[in-house]
Amino acid sequence: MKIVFCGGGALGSHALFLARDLEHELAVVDFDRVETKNLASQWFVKQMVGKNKATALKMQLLNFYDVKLQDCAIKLTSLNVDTLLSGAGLVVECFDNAESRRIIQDYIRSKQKPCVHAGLAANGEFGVVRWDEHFTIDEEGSPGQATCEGRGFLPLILRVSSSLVASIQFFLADKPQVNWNISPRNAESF
Amino acid sequence: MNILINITWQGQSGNYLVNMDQGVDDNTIKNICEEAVRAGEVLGIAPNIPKNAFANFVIDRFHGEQTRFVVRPKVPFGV
Repeated sequence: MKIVFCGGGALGSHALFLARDLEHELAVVDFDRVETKNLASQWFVKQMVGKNKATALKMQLLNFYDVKLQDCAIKLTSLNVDTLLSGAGLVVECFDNAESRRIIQDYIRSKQKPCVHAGLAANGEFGVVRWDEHFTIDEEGSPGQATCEGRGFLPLILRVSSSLVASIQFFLADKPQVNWNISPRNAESF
Repeated sequence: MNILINITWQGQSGNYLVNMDQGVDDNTIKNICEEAVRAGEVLGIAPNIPKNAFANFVIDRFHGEQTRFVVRPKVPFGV
């Protein structure tokens, strides 16, 4: 099965790091570039600064673990979503904007593809993993709103990422869908 | 019916079991949660929350063996 990760930032990069031993075809879509500030909260090494995130993840997984990853270094839009996701048996959505999330949700619902989403609240106070039927797309806050880009959020980011990959593993094992609520103190699945 | 409400507030979280109609609107749920937290009935969340603490929160509704509502902050960030 081909598993396509949409977004290779804080959640997507760590989820791919943790998904590297899944015996399935992996792909990632991300048009953004690695910045120095990303090293604090995303799974990139400093040698990757300046490179496209999808390409950087491909290089890291290949060089460190001999794991192959298909990199799609372009912006997902309504014009190319079919090209990017038509071959996916599972879509893993970790984008950071409502517009891209809506394009994916519209597409996977029209094609009846399984999709699991992950998201973080501002200030690292909460995170979710949701299968699509239970996922609500939240609009971004006002410009300048607190994010999870700085230092100190890695424990929560990794808890959300690992919960996301656990949900993927359950799915691949034909077990019931698992959703998660994750706060700095608790993680609950249901 | 008994509904389990999972509430998150500034990194704290707790569960609150309440008997109510599952079709109740979001604002009523938020008000119930605020009152429950302020009354100290939600273990895991300190009761000193401000008025309308959950005004900008989102309610997720899960209907399974145990109906569950999740009262949570928005989660717009992934990357």
